[in-house]
Amino acid sequence: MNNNNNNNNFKSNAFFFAIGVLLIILSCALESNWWSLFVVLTYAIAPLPNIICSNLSYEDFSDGSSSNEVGYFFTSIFIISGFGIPAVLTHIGVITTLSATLSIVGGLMVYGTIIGYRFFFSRRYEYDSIY
Amino acid sequence: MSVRYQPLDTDMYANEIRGNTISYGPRSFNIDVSRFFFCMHKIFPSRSIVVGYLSGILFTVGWWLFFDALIYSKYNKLEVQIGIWDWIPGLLSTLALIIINLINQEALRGEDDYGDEYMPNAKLCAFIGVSIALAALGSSLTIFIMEYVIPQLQGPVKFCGGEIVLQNVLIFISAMIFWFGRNSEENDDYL
Repeated sequence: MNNNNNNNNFKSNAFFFAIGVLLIILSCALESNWWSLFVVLTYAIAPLPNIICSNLSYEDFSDGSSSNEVGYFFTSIFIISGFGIPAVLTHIGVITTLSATLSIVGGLMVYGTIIGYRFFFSRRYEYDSIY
Repeated sequence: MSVRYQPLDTDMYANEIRGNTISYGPRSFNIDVSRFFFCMHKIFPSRSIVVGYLSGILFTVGWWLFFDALIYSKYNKLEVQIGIWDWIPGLLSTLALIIINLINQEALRGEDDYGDEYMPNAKLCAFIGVSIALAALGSSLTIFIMEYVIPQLQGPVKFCGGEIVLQNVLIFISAMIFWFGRNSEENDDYL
């Protein structure tokens, strides 16, 4: 039963990851304008500080140590940069609003699959928070 | 005339035990609240998560406002472009954020492992950090007024100048949130 559940989660994660990548590539290919591909970079780097800083904290059951907070800080920097790059590029008129929204939604889906992977398949987060 | 006093009923299951069919008032019920609080930390984000993410979001929104002004003014070749001097308030604010948040709070209060010996240095560091942050705020306001308000610029040019002020205000708020949110006394992370 548990194994079956894990398989379903795995499939849905892969599904959303594929859709996110598809949306980002669509946002570039529809306008034949590949500037919005930079969003992939920020959302790919985004979970890294969280992972590093949560492994640095030596208390298992608390998420109140200060190294974790630094991790949240840098993670949110990368997440907001994922919104900021398409916003600035749209403001100067390099990419259209359609490709900006597509790339933002696709990037959020890719980031969500990484969060979901950590939530479902990492035993460490059984007692920890999902964020 | 005799008054018959009923004894106070403290047992909430008394009615069921005695087998009384008549119930006086609402039936008391008992829910084990701790069973709900056990999973609460997975649903509601704890204070450290809120503080970390909120200050990071404010910090990055501020810097992206500045980059927007920089790129927009350079790309559209506006009359007043963001020059090398306009970087200084933002960099000072970031430096102040780093200085303020590097101070150990126990050393600042003179508690626990740290005695009173480190307290003057910690207070000096806090003073320097806060004054740098306020200086950055003031310098951003100065740049905005001298470059954009006094020449009476209008439209997107003035908006680009206002974004420098907004950037510094947001970074200042994020520094204060990250400082006071992490270090306040009560710790409600242990639910």
